[in-house]
Amino acid sequence: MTEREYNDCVNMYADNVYRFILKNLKNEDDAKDVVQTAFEKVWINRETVDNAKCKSFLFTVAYNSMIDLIRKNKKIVLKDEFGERSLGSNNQQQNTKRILQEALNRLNDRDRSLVMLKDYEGYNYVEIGEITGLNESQVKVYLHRARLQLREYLVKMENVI
Amino acid sequence: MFINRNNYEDFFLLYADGELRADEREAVEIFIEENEDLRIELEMLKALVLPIEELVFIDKSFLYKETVFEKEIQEKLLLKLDNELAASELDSINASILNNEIIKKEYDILSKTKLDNNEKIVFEEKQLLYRSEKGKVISFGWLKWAAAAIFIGFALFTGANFFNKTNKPSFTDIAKTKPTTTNSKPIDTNTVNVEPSIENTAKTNNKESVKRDEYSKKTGEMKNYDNLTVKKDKITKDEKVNFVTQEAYRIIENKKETITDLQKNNLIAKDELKISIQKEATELLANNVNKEKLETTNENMVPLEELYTKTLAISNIEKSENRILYMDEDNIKKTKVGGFFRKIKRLVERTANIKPGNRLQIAGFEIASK
Repeated sequence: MTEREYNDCVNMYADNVYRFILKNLKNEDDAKDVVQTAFEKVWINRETVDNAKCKSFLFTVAYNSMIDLIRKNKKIVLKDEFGERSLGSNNQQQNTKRILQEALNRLNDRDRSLVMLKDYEGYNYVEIGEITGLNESQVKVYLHRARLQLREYLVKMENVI
Repeated sequence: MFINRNNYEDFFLLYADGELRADEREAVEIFIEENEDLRIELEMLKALVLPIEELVFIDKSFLYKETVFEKEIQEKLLLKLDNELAASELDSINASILNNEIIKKEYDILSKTKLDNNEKIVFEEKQLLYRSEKGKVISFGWLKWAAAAIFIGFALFTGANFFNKTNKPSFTDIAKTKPTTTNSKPIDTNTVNVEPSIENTAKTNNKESVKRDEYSKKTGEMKNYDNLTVKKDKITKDEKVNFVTQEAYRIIENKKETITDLQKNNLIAKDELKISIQKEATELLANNVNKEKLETTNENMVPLEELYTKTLAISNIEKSENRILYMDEDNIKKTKVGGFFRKIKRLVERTANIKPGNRLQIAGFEIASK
């Protein structure tokens, strides 16, 4: 990977990685640190990283860094501004979005990451497995289980509303 | 067994619980009519029985068990949602969604669990992530000290040479300085008398004079003017300037001797001769100085060449003799130190595998490789 390809990688994927990490950690400073660490590792290993695999490598590094940070901190505090920003207006769509976000927050770290890698980044089961260190079957099982948990939460909350 | 006042309690409890047969219940009712005082006791026992309530189990969904078929459908719906469903099964599940309301409702609910991909969160500090490659830095360890020593030595050597060469003679120096060579006679020999007039060039010129004398003695031959013109192309600028000044001084010496001869013969007045000689010498040296100025401002070598040719012509006409000009051709060639550094540079380029366009840094000094 050349210098130019690396900087193109920054332009294309920095926002995606940041969103992925921020949604998991819910702390902007920690998310920025993880993103910087991930890109630093990409830069250091640029001789061995193929440009086509840049995104996958980046998410793998970011995911592992995030898991390490979670294990280190254990306690994750939801920042007020992040929570407020996700609230939105009272219309049905925003309401569903808010409920879904709440449901997502109730998932464990692994399942939440799987859902986000699938929905936000569009990775298939094999690619998600490469990033998270799971095999394809595990990804499929965990992801379906997480999806059903989200479904149950949505149904319950809609019934309550 | 007949009911009587001694066993009526057991019959009353069984009656209240509805555990008696029809004939036994009829016997109890007849017994109550015959013993009205015991009716109150029977009514109390019947009141102890709890009334039947209508209880509804609201959400029975937790108790329902999914059939294998429903589970398979749900998995296919999830796979379709993740775009992981095989193309062969896609048509069938799409048909099921269209035709079956329950399946359609289930798919709609599952679709709501999919996150919005268009949600943008911008990482605003991208400038922290940008990187630029620097030139290769090669660490040499002890070699860097050797390189530094060589560099300093080379700098001192070239600096000393530069200052020695730039210390050219001035007009007054030439006028005041007495030649150091013993060969100050008029040119009546076969060799050219090149007499240094400044101290800085005295040693080298002395050597050259000695070599020329030796050469003349050995060969006993005179070199003609053509030989000089062949070699003059190789003469350096400093040598040419030095040569002109030496020629001027030689002319002055010749004139002095002429004056002496004339004085001896009382053919001309002393003062008159001095003035004419000084004037001639002044013009010759002034011409030399002007040529030097021209050469430094306009790096064109032609004026110096002309001056050199003119000077040779003057001396040639004056004496009509052939001369030998000794020139150290080694000074004209490239120095050994330069070649040594070129070899080092090529060696470093080969070992460091420097590609075209890259830059090389050694001990903090950057070298353009191409």
